[in-house]
Amino acid sequence: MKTHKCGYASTKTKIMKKIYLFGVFTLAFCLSAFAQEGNFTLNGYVKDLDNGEELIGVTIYVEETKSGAITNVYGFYALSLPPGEYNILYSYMGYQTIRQQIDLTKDMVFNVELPSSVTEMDEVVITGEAIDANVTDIKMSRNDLNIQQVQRLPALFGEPDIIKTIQMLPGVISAGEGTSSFFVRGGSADQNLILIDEAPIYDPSHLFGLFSVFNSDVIKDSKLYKGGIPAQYGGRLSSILDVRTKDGNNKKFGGTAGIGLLASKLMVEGPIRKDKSSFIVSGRRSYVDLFLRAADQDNFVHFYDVNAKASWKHNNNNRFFAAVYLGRDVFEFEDVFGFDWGNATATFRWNHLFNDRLFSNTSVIASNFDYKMELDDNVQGFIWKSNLQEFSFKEDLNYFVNPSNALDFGYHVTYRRFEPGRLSPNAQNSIFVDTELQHQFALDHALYANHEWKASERLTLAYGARLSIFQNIGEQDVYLYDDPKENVDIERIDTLSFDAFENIKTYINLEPRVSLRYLLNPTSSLKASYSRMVQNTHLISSGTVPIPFNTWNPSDYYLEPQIADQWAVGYFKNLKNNSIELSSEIYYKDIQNVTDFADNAQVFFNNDLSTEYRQGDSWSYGLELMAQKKEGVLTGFISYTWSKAERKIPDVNQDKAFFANYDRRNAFNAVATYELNDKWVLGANFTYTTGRPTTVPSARYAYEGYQVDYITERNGYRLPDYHRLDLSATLTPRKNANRKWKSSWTFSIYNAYNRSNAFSIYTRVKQDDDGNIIGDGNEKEARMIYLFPILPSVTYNIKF
Amino acid sequence: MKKIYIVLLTLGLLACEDKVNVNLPEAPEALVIDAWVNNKNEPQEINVLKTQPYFDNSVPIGVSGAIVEVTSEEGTVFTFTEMEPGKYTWDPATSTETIGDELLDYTLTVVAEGQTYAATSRIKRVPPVDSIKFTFKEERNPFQPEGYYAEFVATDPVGPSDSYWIKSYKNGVLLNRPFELNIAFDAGFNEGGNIDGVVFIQPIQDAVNPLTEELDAFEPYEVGDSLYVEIHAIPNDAFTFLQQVQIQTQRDGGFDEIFAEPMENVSTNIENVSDSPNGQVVGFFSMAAVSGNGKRVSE
Repeated sequence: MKTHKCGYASTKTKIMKKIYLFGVFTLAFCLSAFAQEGNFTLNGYVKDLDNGEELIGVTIYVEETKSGAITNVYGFYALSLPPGEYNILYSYMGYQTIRQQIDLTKDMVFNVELPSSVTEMDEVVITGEAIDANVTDIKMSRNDLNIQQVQRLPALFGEPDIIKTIQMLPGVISAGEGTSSFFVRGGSADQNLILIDEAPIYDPSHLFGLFSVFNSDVIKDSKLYKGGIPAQYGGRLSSILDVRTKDGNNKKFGGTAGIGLLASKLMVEGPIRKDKSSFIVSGRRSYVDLFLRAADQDNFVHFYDVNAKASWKHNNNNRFFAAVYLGRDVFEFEDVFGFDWGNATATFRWNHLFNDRLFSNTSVIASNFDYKMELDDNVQGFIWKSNLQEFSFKEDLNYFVNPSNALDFGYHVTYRRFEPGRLSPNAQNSIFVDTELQHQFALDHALYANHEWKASERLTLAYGARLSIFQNIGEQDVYLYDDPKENVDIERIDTLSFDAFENIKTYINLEPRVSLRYLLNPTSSLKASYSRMVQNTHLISSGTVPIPFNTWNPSDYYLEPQIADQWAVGYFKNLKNNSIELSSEIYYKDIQNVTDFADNAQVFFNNDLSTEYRQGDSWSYGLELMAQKKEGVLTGFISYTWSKAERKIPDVNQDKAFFANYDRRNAFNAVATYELNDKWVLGANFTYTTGRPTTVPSARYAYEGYQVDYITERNGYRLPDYHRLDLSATLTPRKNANRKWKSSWTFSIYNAYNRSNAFSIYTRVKQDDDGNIIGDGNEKEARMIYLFPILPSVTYNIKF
Repeated sequence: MKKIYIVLLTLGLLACEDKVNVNLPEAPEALVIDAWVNNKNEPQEINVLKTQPYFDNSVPIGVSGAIVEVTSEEGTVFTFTEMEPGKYTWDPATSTETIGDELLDYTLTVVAEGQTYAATSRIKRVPPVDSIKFTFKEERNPFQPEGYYAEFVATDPVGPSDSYWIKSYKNGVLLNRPFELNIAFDAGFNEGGNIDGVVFIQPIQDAVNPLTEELDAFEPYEVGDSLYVEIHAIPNDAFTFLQQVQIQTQRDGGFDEIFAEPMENVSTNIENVSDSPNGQVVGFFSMAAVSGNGKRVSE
């Protein structure tokens, strides 16, 4: 093997500089073009009166101009208006609407604290100018999750989980019960960017997906973007799940505690300096292992989560936040075999107002995902470790030009470090030798800008782009092959060696994003969007549900970025004074370079992994209908999705197209909570989906005495339809009224009518119940596995 | 990895299973060529068959009237003649004649049902089986009851990329169940292990012990039992093929299926070389050089 050096980093750097300068000039030009004389600015933060939490997505409506704004993810809003007297309405779901008269004679700061709406059902006030964002907002293909509702819905083992509710949204498919993976509009699970306080979570599962990493006690806001994704977001093709945690009560100390069947949790929050700074700390731990230990068992499983955050609101112009998440799952079997995995993230944020109209958020983010497996054995003992880290710097700017124009722009840079695996012996006589797969490194720059323009009272247009500049960098050796796709007789013919930070491969992609909203009348609108997304971090796996032990790989010398183009149109309508929201959307999504393994790939510890994966095409389309009721004693949603997702990948399924693992034709979901009286709240989930496709051999043959399966089609068979009803009841005792702390009980019944839902199907030699082979061992039978029968659970919650 | 999920299940995931009827669309038949030829001075057999519907309790259907030949790199042709439908054999003419001189390439040609199929393989170097040892062991755990445990000693020659199929015969009967399939790449399990030029690793030496009928424990040897161990040196592509057979036949379904790679066909090295190819072919052609050694358990 020859080795030679590559050195064209300097020319690439020059190109990068040019692109960067071009971007800056373009933005500067835009800004000057929009600046308008004679207007004053009204801005501020909107908060919860009780705990000082900034509220995300509050509608600010100016009656005189019939225009308005929405608070951003940091609770900030800004309006630019000609001088004059205005009546301004601040309204938000679950809060009382405030009407404020403002005489705008100069630039003004106006912070608002909204009182929560009175909970007694007959006193719920529906204001005349209620929230109609479903119709008027330009955003489509987006779902906001109401965490209060999630907490009152029936939950598996009584543990509320936003991911389980996400799996019921239109356009979202679940892989099966007891999994935390979700599939958005025909995209695979790794095409979802899951963010907690802006930091990515690489594996959101606890206990292989029974629960997700999201502890509902600390969640303030969560949004799922399925299409029309703003230019601010990038890096994954199919969805963004943006979860923001609470900042902590900056007015008084308080907390919650919960005791459930599988896990318990505690959350404490309070001011550090009243109204200025606050903290929140929350922990959750499962305790099945404690029972097992007590029962003298040798197998232990547990998981834990810790969320912590400190916020310091120095003044309106400068606010600081630091947030940490830590979570881990640990499995131990008879002191012999064990494994664990976990995420750790840290986010530091600085919100700064450059002037009345220019809001800036600066974030420094770190994220770590690692796993370990260990076998204690004199001969076959080993330790296997893998690790993935990323560090990001993000600068996001919101420029509120005037009521008709808003600009968002920014720059993100991320450094990623992949350690796919190191195998070491853990006993003197172990057959394993210390070996390590090559590390990989990547540098990812993105520049973006988006202009939202209210062209007329009816038409709003948003257009923008994200420029993604991705570099796979050294230190790394790239192997060249005689045939790069030959995975049996692998023949390396050369090696390219790269130094640290030396450029190996650069991929530059422009991602246009366009959306528009046309108001048909005050209660209905048409929306359309197109977006291109690029993904440079790939999960190499062909299982239906990724496991924590799958390998993440950056785009590199061989692996090309995945690119998705999505078109969507929708019709949105609000009924009954905006208390019922209807939406219908159709979409078409086309993805290039989806990654899968060739048949019989050698996935485990392979330094020539690039010879094993193949990139191909994926396409999906569907219709989504949703009706949502957000107010009143009965709240919830029903959703229906018709969708189709197919793939075609070289060397997979004999080069023929096949249904994606998560292709389900029909999905119907209903979620509801009903406030019976001040003591009882009832909840119910119902889900129905077409069975997922799976591969079943269609024939078999004998080879040297072995019975070998013959498969004619991947995913050619479908599991039976899936349906399930869950019920819950939350009891808030009346004696709460007289005490400092409030308690409540949540009773859940999972799978209320005890349906045996197929989880998977497998085949085996025909046997009786005791495992004795029937006949000559030539006959085969199919077996269906189903997981959860009817499962009651109870959780006790305290709020103090 | 599979065991992890099974343990997970027993931890209270309350999984249940039932027999179900799966209605499969009828798959087109494929031709099966089972051609495992070794260099022993004994009759060699090649089977030409058809695939069977998966849930059918039928015996394999042989394909009659095929022309089956193995040709050496040097041009020697070994003709296999049909003994019964689908079963083609070659008998050595003398007590020394074999197919398979070390480090020669061999080509298989099968003409069946108007189509011509071809594959090539190679005879590789084989190390001797130096010895077989029996050790009496007390019961260690439910999986390893009391009895005589066997191991064989052999050394992989220095230099990477040798691969082997180690066949064990207990009292003359081949241990031929999926979990008893014992293959080696150099002296280790696979290429990634990077264990070359040494004695086969312990788990491979130990894999000559049979399992019980339920496959849930070892069934140690008793006094009077015999063990004969053969090392078949095979080409790397045949090793890869056997590895795939091993993965597929040991797949035990269940909870982990949702995390597993989709089921796939094992590979084949047989090509349809007809002028107008028609129909699928599966199976494998491998040549093997063989060494062996045996021993009987005594008090």
